[in-house]
Amino acid sequence: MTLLNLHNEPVREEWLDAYGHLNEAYYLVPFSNATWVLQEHFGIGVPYFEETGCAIYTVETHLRYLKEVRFPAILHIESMILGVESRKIWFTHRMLVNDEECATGEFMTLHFDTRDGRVSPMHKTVIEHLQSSIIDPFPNWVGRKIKLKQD
Amino acid sequence: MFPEFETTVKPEWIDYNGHMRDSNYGLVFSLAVDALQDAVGLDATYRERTGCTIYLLEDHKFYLREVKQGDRLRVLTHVLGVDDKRFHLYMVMKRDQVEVCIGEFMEMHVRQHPSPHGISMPREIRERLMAYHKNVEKRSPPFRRSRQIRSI
Repeated sequence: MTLLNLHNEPVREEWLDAYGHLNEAYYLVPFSNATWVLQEHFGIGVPYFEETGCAIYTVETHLRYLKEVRFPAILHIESMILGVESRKIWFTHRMLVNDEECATGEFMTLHFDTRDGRVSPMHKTVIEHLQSSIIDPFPNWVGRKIKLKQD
Repeated sequence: MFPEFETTVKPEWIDYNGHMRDSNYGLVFSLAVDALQDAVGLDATYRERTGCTIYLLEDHKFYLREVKQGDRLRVLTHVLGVDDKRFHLYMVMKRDQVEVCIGEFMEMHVRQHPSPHGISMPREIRERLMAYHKNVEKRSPPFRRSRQIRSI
């Protein structure tokens, strides 16, 4: 069971909308930045990309926007690994401001060899490190789908 | 006719990998939602007059293709459901005829003062949204729908 506290960053003024709060389209930016830090943590970040040409591509995201975020604020991102396969990583980020949950994100990524132009397996040691970091139990909001009661 | 939105991929939307950054697909969808709001009467005049606006509650996106600087993108919007305060959108982003991203969005009609809270939409706006909903039922496109993220 591992909760990864890897990333903090301030809200930037250019992310605000006319209402003075963090615009919906920008929640994914700090989450995406946190993914880069997560990649570094597991040895598959920028230096790895430069050495191997392999990158982590996002194929699916599911965000829940739970609370407004106003300027100024420090975003604290908490990350959890949910699952790993040779080519895929399934994980979440939670966004907190002063210990209050403002958003959650669930992500599926592919390990992509940009030199070959195709999906490729990650190194065994990376897979093992990710596997040993899988969270247990899962948060109860993981794996839900979007629906209205009438849908 | 569904509200349609078009844009061109800007240089600042490109990331380290030389393609459009994941979060900027969301930006394009967000601009397309603005276009839908204008089409159904949830426009700037309405927002100013009523103090009500639309907040995004949840989204689920599938990134299907890389997109490069200068690519022309088109977003087609379908309404999957409408209730008193909320509407559920299904949006398809295309480059030429190729689907590059699909997203599902749950939006809520919110009055911002004294503090933001969900509030019923005017009937005529719900009806305009419902009209798109009826259209989508007739078309029954091959949907890639929100589902559990669970393939591992």
